[in-house]
Amino acid sequence: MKVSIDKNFEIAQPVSKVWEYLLDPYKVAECVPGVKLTEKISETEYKGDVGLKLGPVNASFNGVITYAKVDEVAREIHLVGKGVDKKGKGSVEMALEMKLQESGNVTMVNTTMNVTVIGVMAQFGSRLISDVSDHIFKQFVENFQTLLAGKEIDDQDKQIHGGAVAGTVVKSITSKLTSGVKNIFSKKDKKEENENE
Amino acid sequence: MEFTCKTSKEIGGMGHSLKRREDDRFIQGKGNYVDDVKLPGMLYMDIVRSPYAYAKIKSINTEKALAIDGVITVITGKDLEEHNLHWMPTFLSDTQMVLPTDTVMYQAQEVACVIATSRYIAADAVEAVEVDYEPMKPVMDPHKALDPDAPVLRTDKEGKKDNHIYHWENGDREKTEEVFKNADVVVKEQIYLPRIHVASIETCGCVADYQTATKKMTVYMTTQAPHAVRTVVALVAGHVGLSEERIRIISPDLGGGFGGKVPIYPGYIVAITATFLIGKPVKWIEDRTENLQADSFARDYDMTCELAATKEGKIQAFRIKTLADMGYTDGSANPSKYPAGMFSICTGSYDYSTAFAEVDAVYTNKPPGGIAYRCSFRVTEAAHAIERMVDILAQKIGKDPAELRMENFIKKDQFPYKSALGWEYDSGDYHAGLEKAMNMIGYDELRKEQVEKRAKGEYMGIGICTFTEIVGAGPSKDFDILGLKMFDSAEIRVHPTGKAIARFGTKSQGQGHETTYAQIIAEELGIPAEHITIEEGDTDTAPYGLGTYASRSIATAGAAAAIAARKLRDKARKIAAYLLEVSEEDLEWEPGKFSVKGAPEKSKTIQELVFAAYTNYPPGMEGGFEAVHYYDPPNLTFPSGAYICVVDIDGKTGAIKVRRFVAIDDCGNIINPMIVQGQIHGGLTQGIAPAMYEELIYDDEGNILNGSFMDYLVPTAVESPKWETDHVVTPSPHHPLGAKGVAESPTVGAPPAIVNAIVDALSPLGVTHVEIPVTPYKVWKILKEKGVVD
Amino acid sequence: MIPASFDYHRASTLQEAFTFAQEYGEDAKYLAGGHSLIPMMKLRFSEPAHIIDISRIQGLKYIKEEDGILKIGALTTEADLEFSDLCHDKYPILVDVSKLIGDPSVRNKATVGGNLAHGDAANDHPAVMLALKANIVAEGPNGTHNIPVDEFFKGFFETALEQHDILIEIQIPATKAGNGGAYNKIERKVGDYATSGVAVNLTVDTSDTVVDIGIGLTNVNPVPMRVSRAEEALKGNKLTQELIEKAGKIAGEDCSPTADLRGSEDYKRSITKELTIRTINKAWERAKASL
Repeated sequence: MKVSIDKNFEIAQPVSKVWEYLLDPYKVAECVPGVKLTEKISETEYKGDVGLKLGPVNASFNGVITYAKVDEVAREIHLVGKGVDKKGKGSVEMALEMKLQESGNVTMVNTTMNVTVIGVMAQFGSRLISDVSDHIFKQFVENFQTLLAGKEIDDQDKQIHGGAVAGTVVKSITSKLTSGVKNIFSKKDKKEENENE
Repeated sequence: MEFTCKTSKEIGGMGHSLKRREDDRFIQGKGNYVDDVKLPGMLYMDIVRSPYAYAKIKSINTEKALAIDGVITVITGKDLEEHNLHWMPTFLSDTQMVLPTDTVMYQAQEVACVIATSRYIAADAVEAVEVDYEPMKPVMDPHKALDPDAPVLRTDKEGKKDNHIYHWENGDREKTEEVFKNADVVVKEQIYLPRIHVASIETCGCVADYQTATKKMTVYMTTQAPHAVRTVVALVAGHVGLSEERIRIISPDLGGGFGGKVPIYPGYIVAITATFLIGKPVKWIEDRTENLQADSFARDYDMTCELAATKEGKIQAFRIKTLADMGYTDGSANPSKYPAGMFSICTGSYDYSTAFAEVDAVYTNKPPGGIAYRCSFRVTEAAHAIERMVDILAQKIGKDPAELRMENFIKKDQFPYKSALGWEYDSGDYHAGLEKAMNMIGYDELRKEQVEKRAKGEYMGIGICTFTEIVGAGPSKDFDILGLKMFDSAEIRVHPTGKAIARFGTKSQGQGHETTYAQIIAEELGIPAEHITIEEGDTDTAPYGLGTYASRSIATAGAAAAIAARKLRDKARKIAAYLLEVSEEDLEWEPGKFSVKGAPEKSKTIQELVFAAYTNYPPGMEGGFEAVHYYDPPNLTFPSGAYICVVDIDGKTGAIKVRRFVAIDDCGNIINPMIVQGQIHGGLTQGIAPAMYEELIYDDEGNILNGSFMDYLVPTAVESPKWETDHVVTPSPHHPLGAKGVAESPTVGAPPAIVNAIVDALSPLGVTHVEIPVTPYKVWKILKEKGVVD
Repeated sequence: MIPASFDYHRASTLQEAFTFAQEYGEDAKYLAGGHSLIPMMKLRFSEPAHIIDISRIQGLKYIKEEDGILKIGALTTEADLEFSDLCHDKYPILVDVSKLIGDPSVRNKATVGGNLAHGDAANDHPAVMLALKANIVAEGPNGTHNIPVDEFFKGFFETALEQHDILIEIQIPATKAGNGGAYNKIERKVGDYATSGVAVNLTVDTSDTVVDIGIGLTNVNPVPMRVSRAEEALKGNKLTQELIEKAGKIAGEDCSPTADLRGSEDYKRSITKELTIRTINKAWERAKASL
C-alpha cells in the first residue's frame, strides 16, 4: 500500500546550511527515528539498520539509502530509503522529495513523502500505516531542526515515541491545510477518488 | 410446507426430518478432521511465502534454517525440478507452480517448504530461510492486463505474447445485435462481482504417509474429490513410482468446502513429495491467513450487461460481455468443455429466444482460482447479472419488478424449455414461487408502507430475485474433468441381518450425506435409515466418483443410490417369489416388504429376504445382497427460487438493516426437509456475505489488504436476519427421485435480492445500481453525493 | 500464526509479577486476558522473550462502590461488566461498551485493565473512561500512583504506565441523580474495531442544564480523544437539539481520523458527528430517568 504525505515547513536556518546537512547521509539518518547507517556502498548509496518499535510491536529491516537526485541549482534532493524485513515478511520504501527555498533568513522546505509498504505489514497494519508514516515524518522534521540548531537529538527522539503521536492530536487543526494523506485501497475506490479529483 | 412421506417414521425414508446423525460426533467434539490425524514419527511442514506479488528469486539461502535443531530439510523449487515435480496441471489444463524456480507470481505464493520435527520449529525455520527477491511491478488490474505495454506474465509458456487466457462465447452475436438495434428500450450496466473467498472454517491441509516397506502412499487430505485427486497424483507423480494402486486418498470429516477444497494446492504436492523422500509422515495444515491469501478465490467477473425489451417490458434479448481475472493461472475446477462454467444460464427464468454471452479471461499477479464457491460454476455471476438487469429495466420503464417478472416468466406448461443459450430447463413453476413469496412477505402492504416512508424521507427498499439454477454436473456426453466423465456412484452392501453399509464417490463437507443417503436407501429398500451406515472419502473402499461440488451429490450419487437400491429390490422380489412360491408379477411392494397380491398375510420383510440371500436363495442366483451403480445423468437439474428482501437504510450513516428475507425454493422432491432448511439458512448467510461484507482487496503494489478475519468480514449470526423459508415443488422429471439439489440456490439467489432491495431504497435519489459488497460506507458515499448528508 | 518461542511465568501476587518484570526487563510483557497481545504474538509482530501471566493474581477482579467512587479491578472481564447488576442499575454505559466488545467468548477472557493498558485508540474502554473522567491506579515496585485518564494515553500503544507498572484499578466518580451515560459504535461487523465510537457521560439538573459532561471518541484519532470543545459548548447550558447538533458537529470536526478499509476521513467525521448526537441523546434520556 502507498501513503503519500505532502508537507511544507520552515527552518530558521539559511538554505546553504540546510542543504549541506541534507547532503550528509549520516546527519539525515540520525534524524530518522530508528535508522542507523552501517556501511557506505558508493557516493550515493549507504547501508543501514532500521528498527521500528511501537509499543509491543517490533520490526527490523536491512536498509539502503540512496541519493536518487541532487540538484544543487534547483535546491532539490530526492532520497530513497528501502528496507527489507529481516525475517522475509516484506519491505518498506520511503521516497522523500525535498525542495528548498530561501526566504529571508528562513528556509522553506516543500516535501513529498511517498511510503510504499509491501508484505505482512501492509496486510495487518493498514489501519496504522498512514498515521505512523505521518509521525515518523514529523519526528524527522523535529529532529532535523534540533540538529540544525546545533543541539543533540536525545535518545528518545531517535525512536518513534508517543510524544510525537500525541502531538498530532491536533493534526486536524495545524496540518490539515498542507497535508493530504491519501490512502488507496481498492480498484473501485481509486477510480472514484480519481473521479472526485 | 407439509411433506408427504411414503415410509413410516421408523423406516425414515424421504420427507422425514431425521436429525443429522453426523452431528452427534460434531457436537461432542469427536469429529475426525485432517488435523486430528496424528501418526507415529510424524513431521511438520510450514511454508515460506512471498511477500511480493511479482518478483524474481535471485537466491534462496537455507543454511540458517537447516542449522536449527529439529529441522529435517528445506524443499525449494530447484529440488522439485530435479524430479520434474515443480509444475503441475490445473483442472482446466493450465499449469501451476508447485514451488517456483525463478519467479513468484502473487503475494503469499509458496516459495520453499520447511520440514521439521515440530510445528513450532517449522515456523521458526520459515523465518530463517533467506530469500533474495528482485521485485517487479505487478499486474493487478485485469483491465490493464491486455494493454500492449503490460508485461507478459506467463513467460514459461512458449510463444505467449500477452496475458489473455481464453475467449469463450455462446449465442448468436448478429441476431442479438439486430434485436438490440430494433428494441424500444435498452438498459445497460456494468456489474462487477468482486473476488471473494470461501473462508471455510477448516483450512486446507494433509497428512501424507509413505510407507517405504509397502511402498504405499496414504494421504489424509481436505478434499471434496478424493478419487480425482488420486488419479491426478498418479498422473503427476507416476514417473517417480507412485502408481495409482499404491495411492490411497482419505478425506475424513471436512469443516466446509464450498468449492475451495476441489483444487490441488502446492502444499499437498510438497507434503507428498516430502514423505516420499523422507519416509516419514508429513503433516501440513494451513493457518487462516495462508488459507485466505493463497487458496482459490471465487467470482472476479466484471460484466457489461444489456437487456433489450419492448416499451411494455417484454424482454427480447440479453447480451453480456465479461472480463475474468483469473490470477496467474486458470485454477478453475470446471468441467473441461466449459471454461466459463455454466455462465450461459444467464438468460434466467424468462422467456425470450435471443442472447449472446462472452467471457475473456486474463492473467494477473493474484492467486489462482476461479472456483465455484457454493455455486455450480459461475451461476452466481450469471444470476446476479440477469436479476439486476431485470430490476434496472423495471425501474427504467416504471413497472413494478414483481409484475415485470410475472409477465416474462417461462410458463409452467413450457417445460421442458429450451433456453436462448441452449440449456433444456427440466421443470419449474416460477409464477407459483413468486406468488407464494409475495403472499408470505405481504408484498402489497410493503409497497404501501414504502410510499408512506418515502413521503417522510425514509429509505425503505424491497428487492426480488427469481433465479434459475443449473446443477448436478453432469451428463457424460458433455461433462468431464481432465477427461474423467462426471458420473457418480453408490455401492450398497446389505449384511445378512438386514443392516447395511453404503459407499459413495462423493464427499460430504457438512451437507449431511450420512443422513440423506441413508434416507434414500430406506425409501427404496424399506430398511430403516438408522440401520444403514454411510461411508465416503476413502479411495481404497469407495466406488469411483468425481466428488461433491456444484450441488451434484443428490443429482448424481443420490440417483445412483436409488437405482442401486432398486436393483436390490428387484433381487429381493425374485427371492420373495421363490420363498412365497408365486410369480414375481403376483407380488406387491410396500416399503419394507413384499406381499402376495390379494393375500397380504403372505409376505416377506426385506430383512427376511436379505437373510435368504445369504442362506436360502433360488438355485442359479448369485448369493449375497450387494449392488453398485454408476449414474450418468441424462440432463442437469434446474432448481429455482423466488426471494424477497426488505431493507431499511439509515439516511444519516448509511447503515443497512435487512428487516425481512423470504426464500421460496423449488429443489424438486425433498429428501430431508430439516437438512434442506439448514442448507438454505447457511446458503443465505453466504449470500448476504458477498452482498454486504466480503471482498478480497488488493492494492496496486500487489498486497492483499484484508487477508485475515480481522478485515475479511465473514458475517455471523449477529449480522444474519431471520430467514423465512418455504417451498414449491416441481419434481425433476428425469431424476429417479424427482430431486434437483438445493445447497447452492440460496447463495446464488440472495445477493441480487439484497442489492435490488438496497437500490430500490435509494431509487428516489436516482440510484440505479450499486456494486457489491454494499457497505454502509458505500451507501454513505451515495448519500453524500446526492447531498443527503454533509 | 505460530508465535516465536517465549518463557512463561505465572505470577500469583503483584509482588511476584514485579520481581519477574525486574528480572527480565524489556524482554518481558505482562499478559492478562491476552486478547490484544496474543494475536500480535501469533503474527510475530511482537516477540517478547518472557510472558508474565498476571491473570491469576487474586483480588483484582471486582466492581464495587466505595466512598463515592466506583472501583473496577483491572482483571474484571468484559463479561463481568456485561452481567453486573450494579452496572445495569447505575452504570449502563459500561454495559453498552462491554456488549460491543468482541463476542461472548472474547468477553469471557478479555479484561478491562488490559483494554486500557494496551493503549490502542481503537479499543473501546479508553473513550468510555475519558467520558467518565476516570482515574487509573497503577502499582509498580515502588508503590502505587494515580493517573488521571487524561494523562494516561500517550501514543500508539503507549501509556503513562512506567516500565514495570501494572494497572490495578479504575476509579470512576459514583453516579448520582441526573447522571446518565451511553456508549455506541459503528463497526463493519460484530467483533470489528470501531469505525467510530462515542462515549458520553452527562449530568443534568431538573431544568435540563448540563452540570457535567464527558465525551470520548474511539478510533477516530491516533490516541483516545476527549472532545473538549464539545464539552465546553454543552456545559452550563440548557440541552436542546440545536446544542446537541452543535456538539456533534464539533466532534466531527475535532477528531482526526485516518482513511482505511473502514472508510474515508470524511465518512468517519460524518458518522462521528451523527453518533455523537445520538449518544448524547441516549445519555440524556438516561440522565432524565435518574432524576
